[in-house]
Amino acid sequence: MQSETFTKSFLRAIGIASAAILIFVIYLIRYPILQVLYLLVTNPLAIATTDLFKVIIFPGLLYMSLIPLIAEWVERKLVARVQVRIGPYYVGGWEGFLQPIADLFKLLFKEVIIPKNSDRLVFLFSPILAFTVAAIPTVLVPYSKTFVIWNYAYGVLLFFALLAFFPLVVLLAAWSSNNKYSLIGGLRALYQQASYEIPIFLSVLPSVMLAGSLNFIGIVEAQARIWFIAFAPISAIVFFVAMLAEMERVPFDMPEADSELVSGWTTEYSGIAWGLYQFGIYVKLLAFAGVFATLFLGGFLGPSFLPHFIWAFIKVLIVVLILLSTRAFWPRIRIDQLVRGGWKFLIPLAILNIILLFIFQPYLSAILR
Amino acid sequence: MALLTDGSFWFVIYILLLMGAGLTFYAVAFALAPRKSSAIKEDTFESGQLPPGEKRVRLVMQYFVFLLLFLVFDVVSMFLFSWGYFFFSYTQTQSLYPVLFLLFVIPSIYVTVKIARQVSV
Repeated sequence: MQSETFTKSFLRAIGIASAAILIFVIYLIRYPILQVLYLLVTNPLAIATTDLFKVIIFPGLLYMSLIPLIAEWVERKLVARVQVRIGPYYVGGWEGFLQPIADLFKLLFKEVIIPKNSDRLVFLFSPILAFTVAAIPTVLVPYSKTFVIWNYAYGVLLFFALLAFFPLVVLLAAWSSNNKYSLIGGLRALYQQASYEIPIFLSVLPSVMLAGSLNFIGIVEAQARIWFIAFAPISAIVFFVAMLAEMERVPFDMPEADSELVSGWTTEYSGIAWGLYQFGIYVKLLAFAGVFATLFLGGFLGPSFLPHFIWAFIKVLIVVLILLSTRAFWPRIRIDQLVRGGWKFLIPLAILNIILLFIFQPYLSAILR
Repeated sequence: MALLTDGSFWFVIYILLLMGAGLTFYAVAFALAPRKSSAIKEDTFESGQLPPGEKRVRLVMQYFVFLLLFLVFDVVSMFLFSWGYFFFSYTQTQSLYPVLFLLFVIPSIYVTVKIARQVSV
């Protein structure tokens, strides 16, 4: 069969590609690895300050892959309890907390079905792209003055640029899988993300105005006296709603409405390809929660009895919990309500907050500085 | 070595590691998972029906006007950032024009949405 030969050649190609990437990365970071090995012998505590630690462990890969697993369990448990069910119960002993990891292994052992007449390479690579694009904004979120992977001077603009990539990935996946449900879901996702990107831009503007900085750490340090949610409460609400729409979470989950479109643009995906998408959704949740906490809730700042990164962690977790709870409490709204609502209500509200800041500008500069 | 001091180096490493992780997941899944292809399994999903016709159909772009609106206001809202960045260095009279422009944006959105409703039906 044709698909058998394709599978064999594809397996060989991705094996070579992943090995090549790994060797290339190790070659690029050979000096930092040697530095960490040296510190391991001389001064193990200093490892936490190295860049390699940040990329691999704390705000980087390990943290970024652990939190989604926990968040998925919390979400399933929460939704189940609200609907008077038990939810995950057996795996891992206590309340089934290892259920997501069991699911990951289950997905690894499942066949990735490639539908006929699909664009195979695009079909198979768009989950990896989606996962990567969803995870990149975590680079910018500061967990303390040092625990940030890239302290870029124009981080807010880079965040917007990364945001614009996601509709493209969704359309690639929808078009390549050669399915009507996928195509309709992909187009809905495109409309939704296009309509809600501008409320996000306009609701971030008050934070940039008040801080006078496009750098995330600069914005956090400007909140040393009062958090920006006190000056921009309307913007915070607008950002929260638009964030839910960007992530296609429940009040706005038109693109993957299970009762209408099977599961939207992920209809044809199975096995680990679907798993990567699902993982990407939760990683995106973590990234957006981090950005919200940084822009409006004072980021890593807090009373000094706890270190900075614990405050950031607590704030991010609280925002993640609020985002997860929407799944249980709200029904889905219609696509035209969603598209028109974004333009008619959220954009004027975001502009209203900017105008209020303009009116109170002389008093604000006295309060802030 | 000058490259190593810049954070963008770690940004690139991070992206490469993410791509590598995705590819590794695929390699493991394709190596471990049993494969057995059949005509029904590889057919396009259509809720149990036999899928008729071409799948990549031409769909009506019902909300196309909103995409055009997006193209315009995306650029507009990015330009506002160059004003917001220096918000406290301007006086109120100096930053009156961006605010007047913002006030002008709201009715224009309402008018466009109304016209879009007439056109799309």
